[in-house]
Amino acid sequence: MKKMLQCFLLVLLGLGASAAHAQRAISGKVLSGEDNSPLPGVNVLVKGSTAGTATDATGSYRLNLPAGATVLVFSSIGFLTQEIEVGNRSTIDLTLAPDSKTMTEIVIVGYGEQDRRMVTSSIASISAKELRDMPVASADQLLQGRASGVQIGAQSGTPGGGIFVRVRGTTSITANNDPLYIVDGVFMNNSNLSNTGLGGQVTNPIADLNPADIASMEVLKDANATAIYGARGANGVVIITTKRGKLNSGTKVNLGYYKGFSTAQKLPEIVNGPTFGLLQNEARANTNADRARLNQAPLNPAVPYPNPEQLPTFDRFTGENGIFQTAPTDNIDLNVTGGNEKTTFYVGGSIFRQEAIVKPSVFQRASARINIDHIVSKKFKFGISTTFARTNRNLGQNDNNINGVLGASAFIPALAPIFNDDGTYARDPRFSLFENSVAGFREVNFNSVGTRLIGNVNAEWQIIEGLTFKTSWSLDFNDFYENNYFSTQLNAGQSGGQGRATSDLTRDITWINEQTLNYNKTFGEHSFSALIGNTLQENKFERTSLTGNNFPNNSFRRIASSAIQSGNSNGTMNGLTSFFGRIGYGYRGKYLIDASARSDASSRFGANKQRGFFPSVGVAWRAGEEAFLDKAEWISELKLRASYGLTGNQNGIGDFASRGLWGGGIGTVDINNNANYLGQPGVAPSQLANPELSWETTRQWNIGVDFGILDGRFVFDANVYSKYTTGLLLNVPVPRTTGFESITQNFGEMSNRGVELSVTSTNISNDDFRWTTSFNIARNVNKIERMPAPIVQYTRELTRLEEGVPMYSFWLWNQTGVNPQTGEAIYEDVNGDGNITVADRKIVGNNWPGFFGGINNTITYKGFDFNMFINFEYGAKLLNWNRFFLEHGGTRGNFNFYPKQLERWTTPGQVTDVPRLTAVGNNYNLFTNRALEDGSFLRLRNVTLGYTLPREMLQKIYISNLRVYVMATNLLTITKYTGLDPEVNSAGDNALVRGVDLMTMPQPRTIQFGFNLSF
Amino acid sequence: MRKRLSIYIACGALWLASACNVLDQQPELQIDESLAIIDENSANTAVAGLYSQLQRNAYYGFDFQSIGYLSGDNVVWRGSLNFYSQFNQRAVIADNQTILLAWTGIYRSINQANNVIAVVPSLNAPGFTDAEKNQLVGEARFIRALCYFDLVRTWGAAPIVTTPTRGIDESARVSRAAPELVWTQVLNDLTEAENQLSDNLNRNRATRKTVRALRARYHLYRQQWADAERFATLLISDPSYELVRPYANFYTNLNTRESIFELAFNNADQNSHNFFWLPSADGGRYEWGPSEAVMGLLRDPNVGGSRSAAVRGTNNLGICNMYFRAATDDDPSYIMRIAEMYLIRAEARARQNNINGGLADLNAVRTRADTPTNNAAQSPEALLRAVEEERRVEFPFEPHRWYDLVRTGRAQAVLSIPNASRLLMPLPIIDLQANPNLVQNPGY
Repeated sequence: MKKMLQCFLLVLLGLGASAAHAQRAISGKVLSGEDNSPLPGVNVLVKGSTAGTATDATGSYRLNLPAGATVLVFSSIGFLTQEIEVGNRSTIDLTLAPDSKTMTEIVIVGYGEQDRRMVTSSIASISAKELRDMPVASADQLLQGRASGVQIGAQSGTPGGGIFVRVRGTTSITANNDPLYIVDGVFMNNSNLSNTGLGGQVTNPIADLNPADIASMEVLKDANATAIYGARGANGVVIITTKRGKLNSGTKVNLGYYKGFSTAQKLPEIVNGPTFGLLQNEARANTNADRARLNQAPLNPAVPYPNPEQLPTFDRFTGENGIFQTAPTDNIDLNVTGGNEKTTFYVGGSIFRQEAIVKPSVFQRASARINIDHIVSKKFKFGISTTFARTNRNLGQNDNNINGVLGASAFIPALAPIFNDDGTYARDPRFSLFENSVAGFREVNFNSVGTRLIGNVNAEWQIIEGLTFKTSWSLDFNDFYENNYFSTQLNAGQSGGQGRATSDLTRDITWINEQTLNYNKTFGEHSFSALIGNTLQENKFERTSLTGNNFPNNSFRRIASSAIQSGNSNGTMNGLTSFFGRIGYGYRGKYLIDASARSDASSRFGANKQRGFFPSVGVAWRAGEEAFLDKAEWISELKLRASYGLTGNQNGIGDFASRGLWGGGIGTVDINNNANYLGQPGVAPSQLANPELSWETTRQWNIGVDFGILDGRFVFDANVYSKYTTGLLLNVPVPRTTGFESITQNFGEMSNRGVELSVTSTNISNDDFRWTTSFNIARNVNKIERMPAPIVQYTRELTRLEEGVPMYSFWLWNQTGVNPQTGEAIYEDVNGDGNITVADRKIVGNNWPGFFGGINNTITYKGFDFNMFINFEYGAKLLNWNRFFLEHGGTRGNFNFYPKQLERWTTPGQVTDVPRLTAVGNNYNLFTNRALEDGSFLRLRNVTLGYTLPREMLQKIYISNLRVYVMATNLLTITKYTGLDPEVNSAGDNALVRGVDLMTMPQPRTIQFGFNLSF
Repeated sequence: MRKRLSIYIACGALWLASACNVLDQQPELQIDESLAIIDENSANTAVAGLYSQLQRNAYYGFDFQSIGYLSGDNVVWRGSLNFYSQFNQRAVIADNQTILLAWTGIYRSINQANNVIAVVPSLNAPGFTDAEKNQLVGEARFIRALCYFDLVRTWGAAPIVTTPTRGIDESARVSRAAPELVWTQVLNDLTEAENQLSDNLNRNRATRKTVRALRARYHLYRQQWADAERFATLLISDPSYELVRPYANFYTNLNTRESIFELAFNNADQNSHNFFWLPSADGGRYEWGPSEAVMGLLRDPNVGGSRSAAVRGTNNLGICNMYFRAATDDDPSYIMRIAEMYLIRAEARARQNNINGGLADLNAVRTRADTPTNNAAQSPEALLRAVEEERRVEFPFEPHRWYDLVRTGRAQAVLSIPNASRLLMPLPIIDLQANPNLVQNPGY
């Protein structure tokens, strides 16, 4: 006891002694060489001792120098370590240069993180900085053009609307092709919960995340990276990591704000009233002549518009009564982040509001995020990640919807008045198919409120050095509440003339429990890692729907006030249990091998087919580290990678797809097609049994090379891959005489082969001026290798899946020209029988781009930063189906014309591709490839100019950083496509169809101003 | 302490992993097919489900009728879905959506009827009497007869399936049976159903009376005039039925004494027929409407009489009044009503040279419609033509016109159809691909 006390005193004295020597304190500030912002969390160590500290949120540090201290070592991940002679100085400020090798970059992988150098798989990583401030609602859209091999396209310009995301093509037909989204370890549901029929529009659940909370996104592409997610890995995995506080960094407040204004890049062009009358008259004359030849009575009247030149023209696009508008976007973000020696936190909130350029759509999101980590003891720590978001959407009808404002303004002949003399909405009985376009945006009331909670609680226990046990509990709660009122001022509310309302509450809840045991150890030249774990997951989907008809008047909008009410509720659920593991071994950091596997069992499959096993292996050789390349100093990294593995897919099929079932709702809950009669409950066969139903499996190999030269100034990353999917989950058509349409089977095969290249280049880098360029390009070739029978999709069977062609192929009649003598359209007689029949429809192109990618340039000069981002797609075909309706040749007396119709054949000898106007025959009645266009585009997606104010100036007002900027989005689009926008898809609700443009809202052009402020 | 806490958490998590069987999930909206028909109650629900198959959009919801409407000359396409216009132009293509839907809807109904017919008789359930079983099986047979009747008159030769589908194998690839065999199938079912069903009155479900009405129509199509007359007479002489006055009564009210078989809908079990007829101002999409010609005929006091109530609007932009319940969507489908029996008998009598009898039946219908009595048609030919014209205006918006003209061999002349192959619809291309044993009708 006494001895201990002595020791204690001795230590105290010793400390006192050293304190007495270190009279000298040193302080200073560390800035990032990237953007001159303060760098928190930089380790400041006295060389040769354990004394040290870290910089706080403002980048400042203060340290008492022990005796004999001569050199300070400044280090931080992602930056070059610097050693500074202290000398006699009491202040040392410095700027840490970024580590241009970028090889100490940490990438997030499944259930862990890895040093980029040690990765054997193909992973694209995108940091928050590249994505900041873009005026889009959802994080997935931010990836567009940034990651090679990841094809992303907005389905429409509707804010918060669906986004098309494909990682290395499509591996599936019926099963889902969306990647798996993981947010801070939580598998995020990304199924559209909306039950409102608005045409092909869907809402995007990823828009529930605030992009400003995201620290990084990684896209796991090859099988070795995704196999740890087994049954859900086949479509790639997007791991979203949100921002967290840093230990010992003090408290920092960040405020961001921007305001943007969006306009249409292009307005629809339609003919005016007189031209419409002229064309309709000509069509009627031709039609009656053709009918006379067929001994059919002429149509009356012979001249529909006797004085076409006197017909009026009404503008439905611009001005107060126009459907287009200059739409504001507002975003405000506030977060507080920091940490002490035990606890770190990130608390953020944001409000985002975006109006669409086509009235009346609005998207609003209010979100909050709380991330906290706490170190309880050396061995035990826990953390929580929570995001809460409330989204509010006002929607209009569009996309393949005749009541939508785009249809109601472009498709209705311009001669139809908008208002009656008494100021009420005009509804010309001749064109009563169409909604009044002003009513279409003024009177609609489609409101949906999403409530989203994604939460994760985890605890980690370090059992022994290197061995960690982690348990994690997550919840993804997604609630979507839609209330729609169809006013009596709208076509859709005219039922009985007294209004109609629908209300749907949809709830999608997933809970996940996960355990992992992780072991990492390095013995001399051998590094070893191992991971095992299990997951339990259950998903429950429920919906309650109500409809009310006949309201006292339009002031009453809730169903309680309606005279006739009906409702139903339904639900379904599924479960998944998994075990997974990964082992990795590295020798001297040069020879790397890892292998992972996951075994998943799904409740969706028959009892003896539930479990699937998905292994993978990856190897890498860091040749650049070999002695024989030591002389080649210009090579900073040379790594060859190869991987092979299996992944699976079970999404997109029904929860009980393997069973033979009878249902009351005949498969769907549909008031027109339920199984009841005369108020008596009924049941009917709904599904054929297939007890053999099991996983869809994709095998994929990937060969890649990472090549860095001149100290990482140029970094190349190239991959070649091949994916082959077998046992496609497919609704295989069965003879309809069985009473069924299809049976879900594992039938069919699909392949995707591709190459990806990305290059990052630091063109110029010196103290004041830095210019970097990154470029990526990819090509994917998709092919349906085997299929039992063709499956047609979309209205008019415009697309068709069949063996030997890619997905998203268009099935049309091939018009080869127009007979210059007769003006009749000439179609390819595919089967040569002399008649043009359905047998002559053929695949005439597809929506896959030949290649796609992006180029990003960033220039910083002193306080200025400039960024220019271009993305492009080449070779995809788009079906401008608006042209089918608006170049109708007189087959539709009630539809307007595009100016293209004026190029119709009129006189013998005339060479044109637009046939003679007539409602008779094939000229305008077949679905022809006249409407199929080249959808290639190159788009100046984003240009930003920012200025960071000088720090000295700001410090006086206690601001550590202030950047102001102006940004333009979609400033310029180069395309031959004649529609409003080449980046549209009116079939967002059908994963099997892409590339049909039908009354779809185009992408806006946006100019915005904003600032980022920290203190 | 902390260590112990960690151990608790770890153990708890592992326990949960083993104890919680998330793989055991059961559907809430469906039942296994083996439990579908097991007792009296479930047999009843299966028959309700069978009527519901007739109600589906694809069949007597509206798709099947639209083939009859638009192929004739009473209804014209005015909307945006141009696969409907193919019927108007008599240029139907084998990928026509309506053709596919109707074909599918009919065979769905057949499969469900087959389930009832195959399973119900052998059920050994307490309290489920043979009489009750016969009632249900008889209804299923009637519906199956109606299905094959509609198949053979629309497509000609048709695959005959009489056993329930339980799985897919080679036997699912059925070939088409000659029309004669299909007609025999219809007659067999009708004969059986007539024996099994009782004589009660039900305008919404099949009874012996309903079976006899379809039998009258069957013999008319088969040109078996004496039988057609005999069965029509059974209905006409039945006091449960009468020609209601005024004409509009049968569709402004539900289940009138006019109705023999009226497929009923209600607010919770809706019909979307009106959506396709009504203009947008009334909540529809006006996909089709009355032709100018039929507007003229209905408004001619000597032809349409009070049947003009069935239309409104201008003659070249007419609107049908028969399907109007847009708020409740419970317009019924009128499958058979007593006026048809009168006109079946008038035609059958004309064919048997009973001019006076035929004229009496014709005039019964005309008088109800407040049109002048026809005494001029004194030859069988003139009377047949008068019946043809009468059927056109008596059933302007029920799908008779096309089938009448095809059945009497008059379609090509009346509708200017040069190519006789257009009198039968094409088989849906989708099914030809799914079943290589199916052969397309000539000319498609």
